[in-house]
Amino acid sequence: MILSNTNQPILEIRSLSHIYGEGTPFRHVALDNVNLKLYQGELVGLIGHTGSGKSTLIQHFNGLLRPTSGQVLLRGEDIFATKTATRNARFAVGLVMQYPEYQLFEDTVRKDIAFGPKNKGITGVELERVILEACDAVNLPRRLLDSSPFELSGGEKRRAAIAGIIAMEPDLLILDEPTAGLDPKGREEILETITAYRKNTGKTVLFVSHSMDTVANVCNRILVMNRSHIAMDASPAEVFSRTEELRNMGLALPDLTDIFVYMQNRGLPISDPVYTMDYAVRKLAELISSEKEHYAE
Amino acid sequence: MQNNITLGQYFPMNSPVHRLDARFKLFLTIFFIVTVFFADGLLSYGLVTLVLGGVIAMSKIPFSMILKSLKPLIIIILFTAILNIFYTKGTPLVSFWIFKITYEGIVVAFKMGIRIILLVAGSSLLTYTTSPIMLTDAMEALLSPLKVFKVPVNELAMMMSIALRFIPTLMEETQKIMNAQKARGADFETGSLISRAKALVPILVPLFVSAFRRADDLAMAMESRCYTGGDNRTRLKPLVATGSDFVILVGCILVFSGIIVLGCFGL
Repeated sequence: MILSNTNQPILEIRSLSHIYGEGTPFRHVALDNVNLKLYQGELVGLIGHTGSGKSTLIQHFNGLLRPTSGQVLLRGEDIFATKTATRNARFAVGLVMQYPEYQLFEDTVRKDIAFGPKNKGITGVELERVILEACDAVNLPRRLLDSSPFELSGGEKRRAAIAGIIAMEPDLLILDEPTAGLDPKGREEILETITAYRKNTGKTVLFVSHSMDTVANVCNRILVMNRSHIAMDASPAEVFSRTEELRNMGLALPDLTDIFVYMQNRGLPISDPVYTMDYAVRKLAELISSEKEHYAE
Repeated sequence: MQNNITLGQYFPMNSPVHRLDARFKLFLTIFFIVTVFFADGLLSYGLVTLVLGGVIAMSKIPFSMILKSLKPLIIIILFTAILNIFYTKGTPLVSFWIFKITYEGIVVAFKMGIRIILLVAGSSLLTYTTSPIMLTDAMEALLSPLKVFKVPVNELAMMMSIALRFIPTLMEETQKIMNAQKARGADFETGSLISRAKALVPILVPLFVSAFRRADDLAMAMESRCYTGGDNRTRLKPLVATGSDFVILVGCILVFSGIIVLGCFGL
């Protein structure tokens, strides 16, 4: 399900390649001719093996990395055309890096969240508004705003760091493994934050994840990266029906899908891929009731 | 990766220069530096340059890498050269207002320039062809006579190898933090000196926090594996000198000594 496909994409990547360490023995092609379009309101999951080029790709979205060749277009405009365009891209594309809590540096959480919006030029009442909204968006108790970021718990630090990006009010929110290194409860909270944020703001969100389960439950579009290419770009249903391909890329299926594939192979009469709990319950309920009818006859 | 800092970057290749025993290489580099300071006339400078050029060619390090290590020093080289041109007394060639350019000045400036280039090129060749770990091992070996005077050579070497080990890690970390702050619109490139210095705070604070965290982790990991410094520690890859290493060592010592003698006679 790709939303508003007819509109202009918010972000478009055109034949993008990136090569690290050109001219040294460490030369490495991280991205090879990647094409991609992101539309308003999508919730996209980006998955792939370690070293498949995910982090490199997303660092092009806001102009942190310059492509070796190819273009990054933000609402049709090349973000590397002028310095101003690159700077605007920084604020229009909010990028939450891996382990963002290590970037906290101010003496209070409030000041730290204010860092991004201040750089964008937001001041006064408006600044206070975006700080409070961001704080609420990530579900961080407002009383923590005046404490030191170094006193927070791991999950709170992570959410404070994400708030620092959301406060810039970007059109596109990109998160690189936002749940890495958190306990199950922390993971759950972050995912809820992300889905709620997208629902409330209608903005595009893309997040990188290792976990198929996470992606399966949350996203409406999945990008699979393999060896510097985008290998799949489709709905979860389609991606998870390509079981063999995924396995060959060294990616695991969501646990639920795995179980259903196993049962399907043993004759369970459900043909489509099953990747969310709701769908599994519905399908099984249908199956049980039809069996009952069968026996009733 | 921060590719613009090349000084101290190991460039792995398979060459005779890479294979030479690190202790000998370190010793010869120091000897080379001494030789450069003794070089005086055209002949000795020419020979030093020739030797260095030959070794660079043998090392298979691309010449562009050597140039890259010289690039940050252009200003220093120019600065010393210009000072020498104006401040050396001798036969004036041109003079205007309070400035005088002397023949001797130009010669000294030229020599100083060449000297700095040779020194930097020579020492960066050492770090290009020797892995940091080998280098610390070599330093430890060369410093070991100091143990007699109760200098904690082992500990110093361990500190050095930890420092070297963490330079790339911290550089990567710095790059990550910089990227993260750039993603929040931080600007490190423009503005006055003071505002640029202020812009470093968002990098330095997280960097120090993480350096201390890493130090803690490392100390814990070393403790839990019962690390104790001292004499009885053995190495995974002990440095072993082969016959050809000795041949190279003696050969180089003779060549360098010859150049020093030439330099003493002002040739």
